[in-house]
Amino acid sequence: MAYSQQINIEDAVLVQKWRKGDATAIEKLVCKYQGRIYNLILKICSNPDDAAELTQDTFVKLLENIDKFESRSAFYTWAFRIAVNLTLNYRKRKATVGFTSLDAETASDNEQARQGLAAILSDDKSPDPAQVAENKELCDLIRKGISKLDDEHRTIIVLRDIEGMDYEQIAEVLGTELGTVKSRLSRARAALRQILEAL
Amino acid sequence: MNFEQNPKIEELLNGYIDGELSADERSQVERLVSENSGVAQRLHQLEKCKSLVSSLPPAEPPAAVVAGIKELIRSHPIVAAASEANKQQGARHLFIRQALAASIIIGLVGIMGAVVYKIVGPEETATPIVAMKSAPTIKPVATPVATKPQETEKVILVAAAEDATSVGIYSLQLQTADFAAVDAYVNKLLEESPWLRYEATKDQPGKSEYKILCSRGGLEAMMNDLATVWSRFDSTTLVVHTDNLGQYVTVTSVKPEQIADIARQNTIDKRVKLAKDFAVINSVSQIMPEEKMLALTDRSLSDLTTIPKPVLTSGDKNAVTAPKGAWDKIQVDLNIVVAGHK
Repeated sequence: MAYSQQINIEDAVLVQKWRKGDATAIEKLVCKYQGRIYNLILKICSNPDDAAELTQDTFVKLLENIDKFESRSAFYTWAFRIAVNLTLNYRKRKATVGFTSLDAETASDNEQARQGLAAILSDDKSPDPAQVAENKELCDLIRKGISKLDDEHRTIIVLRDIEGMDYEQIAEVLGTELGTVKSRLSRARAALRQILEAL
Repeated sequence: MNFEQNPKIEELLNGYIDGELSADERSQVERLVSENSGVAQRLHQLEKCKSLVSSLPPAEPPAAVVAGIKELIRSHPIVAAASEANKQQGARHLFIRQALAASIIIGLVGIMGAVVYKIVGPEETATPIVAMKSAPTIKPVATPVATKPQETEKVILVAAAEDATSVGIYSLQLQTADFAAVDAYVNKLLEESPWLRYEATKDQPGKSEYKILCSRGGLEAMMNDLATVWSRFDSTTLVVHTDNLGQYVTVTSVKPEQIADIARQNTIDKRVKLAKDFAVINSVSQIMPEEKMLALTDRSLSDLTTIPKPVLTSGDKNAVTAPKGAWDKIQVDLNIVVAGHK
């Protein structure tokens, strides 16, 4: 199925009602996407307080720019693009004044989790996703690894491996070419692999 | 193999685990993997890396964040202004509905009075109580052949209430390239509309038929909702049945507001006339740009100026409310066929 055909028809209807000032349509879209947008931002900025504020900023921005939304793309791709841009700009501003989040740095460094991660990376077997998800210390360690990536690489890893977007959607969210997505994702995974091995 | 020096292979392997490769590229990767153990090992490493990241559970946004977003949205000037406008519109519609209900009750009381008078009133009263054009032709006393009194009653009642042919019969044919999504939407819309009754037939793939019975208000509400997906239809054709069996008026490229306008007419003659007008307008607009047509009508060179403009414009669409209660009156018999391209 072509990407253009995947456009969520229900979202399109809600957006149309939103444009006409239907407040319930706005609330429905907020309820539908607030969790995903919060998670996306949290994974990129690694700070829950910043993520909360940036999620609110994203919805305000969506509200104020709904007239600029072109219905040829999916609403959530457009919303993600705004969320990613806001978060990356915020991170750039913070970096220039010398504040970066240390939350990921202070995440628990459990020796057992380190050994578990090393075993997974060296073992021939593939990790069991359910077991990984249940192991809080291991998850913290993986999050720490992701947070050590630079913003560009971290964003593309989050969009592909956590949000499950395809390359075309990622290109739309990041405003880049498909070729750039392929090469950047490839470099990001190689970098993440090195970071995880070094933890 | 040093993969940093072979970024193309690395990209291919990533594309492979992400399911983004063509069949040829997939075969190329599978061949590489079977021939080179280094490539196979790298592919496995990448899969593990992806699997570890994908396994991270999502974080629930804190309740305070969720509440904060809702509050922020509600108090935003854009939403606050829209809510206020909706409230005012709602109050206006409530008043109109109340007034309408009151007039219907008065009308019904009048009809009931006429019926009661007819039954218990003096028998020599030959002239019907309710004024109507056809009433003088019914003269049960003067006619040599005895006329059944019940028939006289029936004629009077129908004439007093509305045109005898007040149920509009229509067929709407909708064609779309996005059949699955659009049909799902239509289905859901009908399911969630308690003010209409419908029966769905889906015995052919890529085609659904809906037989719908509803009031004019119900049709208007349905058209209002359908308007949001109208642009997805490649072809929209409305067939309006006339009172002559086998004669129809076909309106091509029909718009939802035109359908609502036609259905709003309470006699079959008016419905047929308006349908013919819309058929002409739509045919002309297909060969003449809208601006030219408007200019033409502005110069009063055509009878088209007499055609009432559609009432369901963008600003008013949200205001259309279906009649309260599950069912009020059957005024529309509509058959919708949604079909995909073959």
